[in-house]
Amino acid sequence: MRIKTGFTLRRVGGQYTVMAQGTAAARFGRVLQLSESAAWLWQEAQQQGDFTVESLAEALCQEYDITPENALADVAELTAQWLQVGVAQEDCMIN
Amino acid sequence: MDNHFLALLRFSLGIDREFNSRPTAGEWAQLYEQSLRQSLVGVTYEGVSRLPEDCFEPAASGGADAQTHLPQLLALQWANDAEVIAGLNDLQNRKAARLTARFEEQGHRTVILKGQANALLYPNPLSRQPGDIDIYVDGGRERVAATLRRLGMAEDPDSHSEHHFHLIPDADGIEVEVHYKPSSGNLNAITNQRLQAYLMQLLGGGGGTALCDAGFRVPPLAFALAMQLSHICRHVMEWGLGLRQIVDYYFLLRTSTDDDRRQLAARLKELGLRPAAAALMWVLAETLHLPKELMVTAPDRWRGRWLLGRLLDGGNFGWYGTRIPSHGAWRRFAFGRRQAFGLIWFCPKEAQKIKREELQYWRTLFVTIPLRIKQRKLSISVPKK
Repeated sequence: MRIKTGFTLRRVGGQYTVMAQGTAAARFGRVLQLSESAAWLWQEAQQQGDFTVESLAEALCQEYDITPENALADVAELTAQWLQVGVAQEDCMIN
Repeated sequence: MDNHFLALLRFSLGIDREFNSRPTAGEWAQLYEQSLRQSLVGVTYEGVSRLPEDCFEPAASGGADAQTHLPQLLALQWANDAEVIAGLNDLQNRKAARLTARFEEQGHRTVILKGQANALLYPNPLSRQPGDIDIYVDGGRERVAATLRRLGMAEDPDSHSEHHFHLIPDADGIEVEVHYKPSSGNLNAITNQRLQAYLMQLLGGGGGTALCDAGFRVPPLAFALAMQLSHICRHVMEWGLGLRQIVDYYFLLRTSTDDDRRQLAARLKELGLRPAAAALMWVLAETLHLPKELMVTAPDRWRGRWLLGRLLDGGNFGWYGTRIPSHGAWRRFAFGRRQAFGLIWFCPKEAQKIKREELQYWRTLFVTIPLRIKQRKLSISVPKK
C-alpha cells in the first residue's frame, strides 16, 4: 500500500488535516481530519513509501504504548479509511 | 465588520504583527465571505494560518465554544481554498513562462502585466488569487497579429480590441490577453496619448527586466506604478474596483524606489490622474497604513472616503455592489446622478464621457419642458417626441 502523490498533511487550527495539493484540492473537494496519532502514522507511511498494515503497526508499537493486537486493529481500520476516501492505494500486482 | 476585515488583512500581509480582534463565529463567516467578495481568500488565509490555536473552535468542544471561535469547518474550507489558489498560481506561472518563451522565440520582447507579476511582490506569491494572464508583446498590432496567426494561437487575430487579442483557451482554462499596447490606457484621449508614450519610454523599446525565477519578465516598477494607477482609475470609472487591486498597489509602492515614485509624482498632472492618485493614497493609508514617505501625492480624504465606500461595497471588479434600484423613478434618478457626479468628482479628466452624457441628459430634460407641459407629465425621464 502507499499514500497517493498529491496529498499533504497540514495543521489547521491545531487540527491535523490531509488535503489534496494545489488545484486537485478543488477536484478532491474534501479534507480528512486526523488525530495526533493518525497524523503520526500518515507521516510514517509517507516515510516508508510502500507500507503494510503490519509495518505501520510495528512502528506504532515502538512510538506509542500500545499492544500489538490493538495497533494492528487500529492501523487496519485507519488504512481502510484512507483507501476508501482515496488518499492511499493498494500496490499494483504485476504477474 | 469592515474594521475586523481590514485588521485581518493587515495581519495577513505582515503589516500588523498581531490580530487583536476577537470575532464571533458569525463574524468569522462574514470575514470569509468578504474575503471571497474581494478575491482575497488566499491572502487572508495567510493570517488565519498564523492565528494562535485558542482562536479556533476546540475539536472536543462539541459546539460549546462555537460562538466565540473560528469554526473548524470554516477554517478547513478556508485552507482548502488557499490550497486551490496556490495551485492556480503555479499553473499560471508556468503558463506565463511558456508564453514568454514562445513569443520570444518569434523575436518579440514580452512583459507580464499586473497579475502574476504583482503576485511576486507578495510575502507569499502563491496566496494572491489569480485572474487571467495579461502579456505585453512588443512589435505593434500588425506584427503581433501576424505571429498569432502563424502560431494559430488567437481566437480571431483580425478582430481585436483597441489594445489586445484573446488567445484560444487551452485545456487548462486560463484566459490570456495578448496586449500590443502597454496599457488599456486612460479614457481621456489626450492624457491617454501621453500615458502610452510615457509607458513605452519606460519599457525602453519593448523589453522588461531580466527573466524572473518563474521564467517570465516583469515590467520596471515605474512602469507598473503608472500603468496600474491608470488601470485602477479606469476600473472605478467603468466597472468597479476591489481591494485586491489596492493590495497590489500597496506592494508596488512598498517595493518601488524613491526615484520610481518621484517619476510618477512628476507626471500625475499631465496624465490627468492626480485626483485619483490622491484618493488612492488616502485609501492605502486608511486600510493598509501606507507610510507617508511611500506616497506619490498628498492623500485626499474626501475622495478617498468615497472610493473606500465603493471598494467595500463593490468587492472584486465591483461585482457585488449596490445595483440600480428597480422600483421608483426618483430613486433611479437619484442613484444615477449620484453615481455620475461621484465619478466626475473622483477624476474629472477621466470622466469626459460621463460629463458629456450628463450634459446631454440635462439638456434634453430642459429642452423637452414644453413637451412635458403639453403632455401634462412631470417626468424625470426624457420623453419621446
